[in-house]
Amino acid sequence: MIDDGSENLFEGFWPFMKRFLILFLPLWVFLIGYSANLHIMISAILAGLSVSTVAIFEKYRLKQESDSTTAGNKVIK
Amino acid sequence: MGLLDWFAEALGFDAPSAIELIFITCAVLGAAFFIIMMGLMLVGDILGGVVDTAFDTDFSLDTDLSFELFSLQGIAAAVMMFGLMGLFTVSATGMELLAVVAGGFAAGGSLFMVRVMMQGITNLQADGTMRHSDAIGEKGHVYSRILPNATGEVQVAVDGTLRTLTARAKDKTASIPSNELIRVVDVIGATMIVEPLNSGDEIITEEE
Repeated sequence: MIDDGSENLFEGFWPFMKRFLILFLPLWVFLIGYSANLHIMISAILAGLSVSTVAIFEKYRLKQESDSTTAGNKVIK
Repeated sequence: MGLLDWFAEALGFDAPSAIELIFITCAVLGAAFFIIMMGLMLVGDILGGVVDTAFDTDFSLDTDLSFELFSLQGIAAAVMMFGLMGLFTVSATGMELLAVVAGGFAAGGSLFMVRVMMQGITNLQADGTMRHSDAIGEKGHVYSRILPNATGEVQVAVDGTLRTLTARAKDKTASIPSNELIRVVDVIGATMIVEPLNSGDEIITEEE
């Protein structure tokens, strides 16, 4: 398992949030689509796509953390 | 009549739709799980106390297990809030889409509250790690004399704790004898850069 520091996001609460989101976010998105009278296939596709937003959000936060840590650092990379 | 239908009728839904059934299921199961978890924690503590007293043993939940239970309670609370908020919104407005969105935000809000509580618990912990930069500006005295262009040791209070730290004089040609009062002006790595206090500084310190 690659240690990318994601387990330290949100004061170490992110791993728990991530599991919760991966489990419940697609269900929520599917229900939104279903209640909005979208076609069930489109709702399902949107629900599946919503899982990727968790990973994208994680990468975004990691990049933010990395940028804030190295802000003002004059080390040549 | 099924159990869910009975619950739905008890909650005032005569012919619940699929979304309403989902809300009812979430509200009932989430609340039941949440109450059972809370009850188990309370009864577990009471039982633990009884067993500890009766058999002189240590029967209690350790920290890790408590945090796991706490996380499960967070999930149960989120599911319960999703169901309750969804039911409230759908009965108030009749709009299922709004109810699903509101329920999702309520679940996220309850999770956020759990996170805030976790953050509060984390803030109670202190790892005791000293940040050397906190020593800048602090006053102390020379513990082991500082010779010209060489290191000695100073005692400085950093973050409320008296520390003995390696130090060099700011003026490389200066020698600072033991017990001389100093001020930390800079930090390089773990080495304090210090300068002796003159009499004016000492008077200011006393006035402070």
